[in-house]
Amino acid sequence: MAQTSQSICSILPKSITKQINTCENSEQYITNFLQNALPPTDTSSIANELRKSLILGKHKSKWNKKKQCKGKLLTNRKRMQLGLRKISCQVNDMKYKDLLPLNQLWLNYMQQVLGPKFLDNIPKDPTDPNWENVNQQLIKADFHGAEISIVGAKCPSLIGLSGIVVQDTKNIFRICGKDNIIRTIPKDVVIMNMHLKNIKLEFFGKDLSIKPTERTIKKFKCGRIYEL
Amino acid sequence: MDANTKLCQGKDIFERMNYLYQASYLMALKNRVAASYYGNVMVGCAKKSVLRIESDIKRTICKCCQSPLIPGETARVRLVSKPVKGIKWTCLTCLSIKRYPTKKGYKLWTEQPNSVVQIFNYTSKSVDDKSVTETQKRNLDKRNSVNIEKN
Ligand SMILES: [Zn+2]
Repeated sequence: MAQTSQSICSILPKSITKQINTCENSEQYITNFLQNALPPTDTSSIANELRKSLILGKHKSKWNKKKQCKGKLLTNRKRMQLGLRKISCQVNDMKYKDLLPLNQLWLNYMQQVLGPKFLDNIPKDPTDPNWENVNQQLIKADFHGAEISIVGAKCPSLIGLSGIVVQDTKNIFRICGKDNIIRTIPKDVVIMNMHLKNIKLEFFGKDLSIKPTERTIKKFKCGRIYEL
Repeated sequence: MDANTKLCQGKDIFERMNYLYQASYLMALKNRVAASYYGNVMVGCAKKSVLRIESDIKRTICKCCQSPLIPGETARVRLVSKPVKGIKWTCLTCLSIKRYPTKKGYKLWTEQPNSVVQIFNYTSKSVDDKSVTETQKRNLDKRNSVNIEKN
């Protein structure tokens, strides 16, 4: 019994499939079959029914057609058709190991943004004269490749997740954890920790709920505390 | 923080674009969606803050889908002679085509010597640990000089 259940999924051997030939005039075969199978009252309408054309059957979907792009910036809808909007795990098989060089690059970048002296004198409370300045720089920085972990959230199942950011949009972070699974995290309900070598930066996700491109020119307002 | 950083306008955004460009190239072979996304963010940054990307860099990302073009990997490069002699780049992600003429004596405006009015030197005193960042930095300066000239 066990052997037969295994062989269900395997392909039939060539010796059997050789003999099978598909019916050549399938339409003829279908009408014959229907004539025999249906009750005699319905047989007259067979020809009419078969002539009906299914409108949606002929309609080819535009979405999957791979067409040449004109030399213009893709719209968001076109990007979606090409599958360039969402970084997902199933299709591209992203590995945590592949992201480590990205994280390294990000650390170098952050060091450049914050200046070489940053590691020595970190502003620890709002009274520090550098506090405003550093906040301003942090909000303008890029977070792709950052290593974050979540410390507080409205939804308890989000707490404790950690990973490297692969995508940063207006309302979500997509992070890739150590188990190679990409998770989507809503920004506005969480408190995050960002790991910069041995420094932990804690911030509200709601402060970052702007498009990453628009954050470059956005002014950051200090001292807002959100209800979580 | 020091006087140097204040002078260079849009330095943080240039640095960000630089980072995104490098990240895009890093992810090009591993994940084309991510590479395209980073390229897109980079172009978006440039647009939002009205800073221009240098043409050499602009030509290495796809105009259409912003994924990095690496000959043989993500792009097909052919010499063509039919309409005008030139190089044809085909992006393999979105199949868009870009043609660049190779006429003798053809120079972009930014390559011509009279386009540069003033060159600012923003090279920082600290030594960068990566050579990649060094070269990119120089590109930034070039970009900046072009940018200021146009205004
Ligand atoms: Zn393309």
